[in-house]
Amino acid sequence: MIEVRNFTKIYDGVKVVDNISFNVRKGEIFGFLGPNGAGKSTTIKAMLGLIYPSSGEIKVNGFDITREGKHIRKHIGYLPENITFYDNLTALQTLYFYSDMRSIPRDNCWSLLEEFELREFANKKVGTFSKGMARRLGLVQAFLGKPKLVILDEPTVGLDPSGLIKVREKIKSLKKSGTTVFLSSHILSEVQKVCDRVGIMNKGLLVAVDAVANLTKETSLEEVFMKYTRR
Amino acid sequence: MYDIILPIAKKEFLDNVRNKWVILLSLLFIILTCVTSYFGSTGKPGWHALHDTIRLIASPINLLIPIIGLMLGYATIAGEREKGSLHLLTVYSPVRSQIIIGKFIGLATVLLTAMLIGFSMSGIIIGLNAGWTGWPSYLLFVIESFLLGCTFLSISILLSSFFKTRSKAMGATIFIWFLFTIIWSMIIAGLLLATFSMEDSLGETLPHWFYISDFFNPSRIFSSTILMITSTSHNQLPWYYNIYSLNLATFVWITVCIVLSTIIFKKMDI
Ligand SMILES: Nc1ncnc2c1ncn2[C@@H]1O[C@H](COP(=O)(O)OP(=O)(O)OP(=O)(O)O)[C@@H](O)[C@H]1O
Ligand SMILES: [Mg+2]
Repeated sequence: MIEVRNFTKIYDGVKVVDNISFNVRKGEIFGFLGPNGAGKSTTIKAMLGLIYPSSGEIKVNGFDITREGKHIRKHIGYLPENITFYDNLTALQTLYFYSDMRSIPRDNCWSLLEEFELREFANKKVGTFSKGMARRLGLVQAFLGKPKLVILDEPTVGLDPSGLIKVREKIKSLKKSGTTVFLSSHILSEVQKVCDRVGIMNKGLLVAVDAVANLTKETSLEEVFMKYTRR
Repeated sequence: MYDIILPIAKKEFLDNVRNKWVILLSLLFIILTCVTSYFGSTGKPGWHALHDTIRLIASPINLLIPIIGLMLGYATIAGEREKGSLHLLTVYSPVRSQIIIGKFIGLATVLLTAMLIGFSMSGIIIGLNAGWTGWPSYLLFVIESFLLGCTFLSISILLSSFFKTRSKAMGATIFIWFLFTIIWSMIIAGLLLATFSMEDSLGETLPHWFYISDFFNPSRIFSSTILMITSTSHNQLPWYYNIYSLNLATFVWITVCIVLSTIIFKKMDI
């Protein structure tokens, strides 16, 4: 589903992502781990065509995302690391706007709002939302229109325990329906519960890619993480 | 292709309806036009016919419309970029140029709506009080004002794509306004005085560079077209200097600014 080939990103002369390559298979849940500043969000933004690789290429469903992105963007749902909406729109207007942009029917907005316990706030302005509520709306927006690929940059940050469980269940149900999910996270216990495979980044390098089951045969994911990201 | 442009244009327009800009601008146009028409010239107050109203109102409009055009657009990319909402917008629009075009259309519609409401109401008020003669000129005046607004709107969208933050874009916007509406004519007048001696060439036309320089300033384009619409006697003008070429220049301005913004926006890391 996603092929990253020798992707490098240089900001102001600093290599923040250094020549990484990996694949994400169709229908799998892929976890992207790494300490703060490792380059996870940078890689994610490049996978979406938001930033341009300094070198290397990224293909999503066989299409080069920077040149042929228009063929595939419609099938991608995305939750950015720092989600911000338009303060003057209500939750529902926000979802309608993104649905219209992606030319997907508006009708699953309500059920998703219901699922993430935002139904009663549907007509409230997003500007008045708490951080966690905005995050929830961000998730709802990412799941609109049953995308084939969902990319979530730290989906559980700022969520309460019930929100956490909701996200976990949603991801599991997406897996059943064959959706590919790519997520970055710092909550290793969650990653262990939902992900099939993980990639671990450290200082711009991809230091490990393997099935969760393989990595945690002898030790915990936490120890694996610490081993690979030792400074 | 329209599936992206339309929702974005619609959102920009509705935003400005919701935050009352449309209605505020309409009121502003009504008040400005009526007050100018009634109190506009020295002597005792009284309604001026449409034709004279245009002449009186052209210069305040030439200061005001650029401000409105610039204000509408300067934050449209830079602001969203700074806030972070540009992420989703860009991911979900397959071709980035459509974001720029959608925003331009939406914001131009804001201007158009406010002008149609404002100028038609004031046109009717003036028409009822001072007669309807000169209404075709008035119509042309409204069209030219709209084009003036669109030009400055496209300039502000260009600045908004170029500058990374809202405040920088705002600074550049203010500079552009001063440059085109205030400083420009001072510079041109200065150059004219320095290079052109009135006594030597009495009765001759002004130098070509003077006319050509007008095409490079949308605000000068506007004042010249309004002058051509309202005055009946034309003094000697160069062949390339007429209402058609001036309006053509306006379209070139808009196109160049929009194309440049798309090029910048396309290459940008978000
Ligand atoms: N626009 C930018 N300009 C310059 N440097 C940047 C930019 N964006 C990211 N960086 C740098 O790239 C590095 C990687 O950042 P990135 O956001 O990818 O990290 P991350 O792995 O997502 O971290 P976190 O876990 O904190 O979210 C950081 O050192 C950051 O300072
Ligand atoms: Mg990050």
